[in-house]
Amino acid sequence: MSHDTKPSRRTILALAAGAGTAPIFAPAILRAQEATGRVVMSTWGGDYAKLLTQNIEDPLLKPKGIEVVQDAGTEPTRVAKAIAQRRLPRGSVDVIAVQAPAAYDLEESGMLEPLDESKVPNLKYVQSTFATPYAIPHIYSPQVIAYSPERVKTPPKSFTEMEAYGGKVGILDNSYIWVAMAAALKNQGDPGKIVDAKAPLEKLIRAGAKAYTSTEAFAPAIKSGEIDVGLVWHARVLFWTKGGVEMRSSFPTEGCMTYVSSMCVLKNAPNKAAAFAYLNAALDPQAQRGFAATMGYHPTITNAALEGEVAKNLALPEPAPKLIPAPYPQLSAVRDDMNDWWRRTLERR
Amino acid sequence: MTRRRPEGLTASLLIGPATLVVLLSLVLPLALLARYSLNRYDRRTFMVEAFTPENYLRFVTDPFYTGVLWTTFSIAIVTTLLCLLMGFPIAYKLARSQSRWKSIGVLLIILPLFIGSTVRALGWMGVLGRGGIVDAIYGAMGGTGISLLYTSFAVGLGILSINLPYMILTLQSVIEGIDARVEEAADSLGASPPRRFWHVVLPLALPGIATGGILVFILAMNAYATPFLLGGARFQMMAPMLYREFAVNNNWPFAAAIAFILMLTTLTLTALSSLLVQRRYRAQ
Repeated sequence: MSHDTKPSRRTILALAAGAGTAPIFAPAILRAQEATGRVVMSTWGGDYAKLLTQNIEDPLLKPKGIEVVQDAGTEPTRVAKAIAQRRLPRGSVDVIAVQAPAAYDLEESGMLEPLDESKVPNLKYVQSTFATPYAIPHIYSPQVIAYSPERVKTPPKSFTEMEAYGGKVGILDNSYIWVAMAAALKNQGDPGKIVDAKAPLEKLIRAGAKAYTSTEAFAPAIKSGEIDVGLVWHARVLFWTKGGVEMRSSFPTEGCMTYVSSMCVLKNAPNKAAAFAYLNAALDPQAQRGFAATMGYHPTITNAALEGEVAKNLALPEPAPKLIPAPYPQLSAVRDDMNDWWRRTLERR
Repeated sequence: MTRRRPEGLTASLLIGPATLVVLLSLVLPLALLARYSLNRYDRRTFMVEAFTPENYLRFVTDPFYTGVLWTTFSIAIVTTLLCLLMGFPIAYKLARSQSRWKSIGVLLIILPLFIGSTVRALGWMGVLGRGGIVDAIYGAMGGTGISLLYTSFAVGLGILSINLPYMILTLQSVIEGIDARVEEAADSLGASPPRRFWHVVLPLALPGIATGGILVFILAMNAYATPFLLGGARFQMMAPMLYREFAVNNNWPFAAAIAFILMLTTLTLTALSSLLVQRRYRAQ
């Protein structure tokens, strides 16, 4: 019975529009915005979700009357959910945070709302390297050769120099494909030639390089001397250094493959206006600086200059290395085959 | 005759809710999973409706996957046998014990079950890993660093430590059910201890051995956290592989097929072993 008496969204919008012309009804507008201002954010759980609340949702969206509900989970699960709902006229998610390669896949499947400056005004500040018409780059971190300053006296300056460490190289199992792209970048001059990186990766594995199933296992391995070097994100090195592990970053001279975390609006988002507002807030300098300070990821916009300790930690060497986002179409084309190949290579030893 | 009907009605009323729960929570999801396993995977659209055996064929025709099944099976068999060999004497001692420390002994067996398998795997990582206890002792004795982590030995040890309590508790309850006077009779008739064990205790304990064996075998076949944490990226077992196909690669049809293959293998082996035991039991 109650749904008969409950005003529909349209009624509320109409009411709100009417009220807008009469400032005397200002509280009514606020209420109306609150009612329509619920946005569902599909995100990773843990620190990232917490920082979204701290840096974006609470300071920037709450005052506007936008209430955020987080749908936290692993990326594949959330992507599967979005795909399963794609035929529904109204899905359950407004904004989805995924790694940039997954954002490309969603776009290829025709599931993403196109973005422009009229919807997300802060897009005009986005660094051109990371700009796409379907997703905002939220944060980025360059891939570096992490090394133990205790045991590595001359830090490796390229993929080839790192390869020389053989059995003392650590690879994160879940981002091996980024190591493959780094190898392709060095050897082929093109990170898109991922398949050509099979040989150097196989060589590394045969030389006894360690593969870790969890990202967290990398730091103890450097600490205990099980490995000396490995390709990881700069943000990770900063995080582990903060945690007391002696580790430094060396930026490859051939350029750094760059991790980008994206946010996109789904075509069947129930509340697109609030979703765009979310994206815009994520690109706000204040929010971007917050992520840099707490997570060690770089801002993706040009107008969020960093200061003090954060600026020092995140500073890129001079001359600045070339930041190279993954070649998404090529990556998407070969990923399944590469995953299969990688499993077999690891098993074969 | 007239009383039968209401009795049957009562029985079905009593069984009904439980049957319904099993149907809804086990049979239906399994049926859905079986349907998924015949679908085709597509990265963009996720799952294409189809009716194809290709997921099963992919598994059985590829030595990589059959190899993983074989590894899982070997680990499960070896750990089950070790559980039996190590568990039987402890269970026997506990069952025949008259001491007031008996309940403490049982408690000590149960205690590890209070700690989750993930936590225990992490504990083993501290023991076996680089810079761990074994490494430190080896280093103190003049060795140059040893890491047993990420080997089949580590996985076997981890699974063994988790499954042993189940085996001991099952065996203990069965051995307690064997009348001690039967053993005394064997003694009095001049049977040597090995002969007594082989011809009296073992055959009588066989149902318990079968139950315990099946229990720990199934647990080992489906082990997830232990092989994942102690085996690392280079060691493959069925449950972690199934999880990866399902939750990382998003390939639900293939993951469903793997699930069925694992389930059918486990069920077939379990059924075979109980058949064997039954036959032997009857022969006795």
